[in-house]
Amino acid sequence: MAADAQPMASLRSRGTATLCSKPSLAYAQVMPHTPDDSALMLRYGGGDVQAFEILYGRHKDAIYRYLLRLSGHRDSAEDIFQDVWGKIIKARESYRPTAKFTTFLYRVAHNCFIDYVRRNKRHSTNTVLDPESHGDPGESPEMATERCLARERLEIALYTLPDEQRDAFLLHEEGGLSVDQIATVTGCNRETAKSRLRYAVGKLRKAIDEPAERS
Amino acid sequence: MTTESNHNDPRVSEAYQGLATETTPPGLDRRILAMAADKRRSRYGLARVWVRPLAWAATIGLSLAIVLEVSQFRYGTTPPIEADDVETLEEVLVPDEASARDDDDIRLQRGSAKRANEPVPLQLSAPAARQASSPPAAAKTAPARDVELTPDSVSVYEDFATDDMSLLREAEEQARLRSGAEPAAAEAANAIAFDATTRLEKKEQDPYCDPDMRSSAETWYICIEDLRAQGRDDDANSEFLLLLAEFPDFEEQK
Repeated sequence: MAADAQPMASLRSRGTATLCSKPSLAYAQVMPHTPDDSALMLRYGGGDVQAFEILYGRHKDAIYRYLLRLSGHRDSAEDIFQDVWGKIIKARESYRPTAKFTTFLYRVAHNCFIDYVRRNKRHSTNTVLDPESHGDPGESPEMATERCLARERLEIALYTLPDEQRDAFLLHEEGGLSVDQIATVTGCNRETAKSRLRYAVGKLRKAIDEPAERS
Repeated sequence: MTTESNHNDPRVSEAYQGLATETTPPGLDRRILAMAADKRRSRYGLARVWVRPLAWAATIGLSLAIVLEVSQFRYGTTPPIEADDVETLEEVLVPDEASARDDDDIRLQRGSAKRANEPVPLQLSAPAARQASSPPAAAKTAPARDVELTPDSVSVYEDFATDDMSLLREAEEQARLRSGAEPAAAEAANAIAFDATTRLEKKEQDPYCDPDMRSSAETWYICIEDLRAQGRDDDANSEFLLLLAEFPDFEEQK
């Protein structure tokens, strides 16, 4: 239970608008009555594959988006994603719930991404994702255009962020991690993590406000 | 509160959540779940129960085998022959008449000791009997058949062949070992070994006396005399020793 308190607190700190508009967030699925992530991992360590399926269902999309935004390539994200879950599966016996499972999971993902970048020296995050792939089939052309422009501005701003700042922002948004947890995952101290996150949020806010200021 | 709002902006979060709608491809989900199920089966089977004891048993077994091998290697080897001993080696391989007699006596004693343990009568298979006792001419004319031999003659003859072969092998081995260090000594040893080989081959190709001749002391002695007349003194001596073993009361005619 205590392990799940952090995502909920993080969720509360986002404000009601976020909760109302996106009730299906990955971390919002962690409800008090559902089994704890660590307990599920331990059950999987004991041979219960269904526990793994629940655990995977909870975190897969958030981890995928984290890796997608971090790498900027769909193929790379899929490769790293597979690597991450392969390591989680491999660690099922040695896993001990000393820290929150989400922290453990994002630490593995972060390390896998770092390894991937080291292996592929030519990796760059300059590739902008294909906008067509994110389109909602039900929306009107005007809304779609506006949405597309806003997304492009944010996405461009996100990809212009330094890697560390983008990493901190994505860990906060996708994983719902606190500053302390971000510091643990990225291997830096609390103040550095907080500073990275503050800079990232400030730059993205500026990018969103830019057209309004112009008009 | 100011710090909190600095890294938690609802507008940025909302904009980002509106943007981040991607989900994992179904194929990827299937791969991961299949991997999870597969790993669970392979790691949590019966295999884990016996793998560790098996590994221990294999480790202990191998260790014992290595220890035994090393101990045999340390205590079971023969010392190498020095260069000065080449003459001694020659004496061993090409004995003079006196020493040959002494050696033959020893072999006969060994044969007698064997005789006491062996059942009588002894029956040899056709090829062995032919090789041991029949002359080539007899072998050509006579069909393959089991030959009744006295245990004495066979055992003594086998003893001869075995001992000669072992001496030959030893000489060859020593020559081979020494060939790298001292070529002259190695050549001498090789020559001795070659001589012994030739002698043995000759002995095998041309048996001295056939069983018919050996049936009585007189005919056997005639065969021995023939051998001496041919200049095959060594063979004659060997046959004579066998004759004495078979017929202890026989006295040589001067």
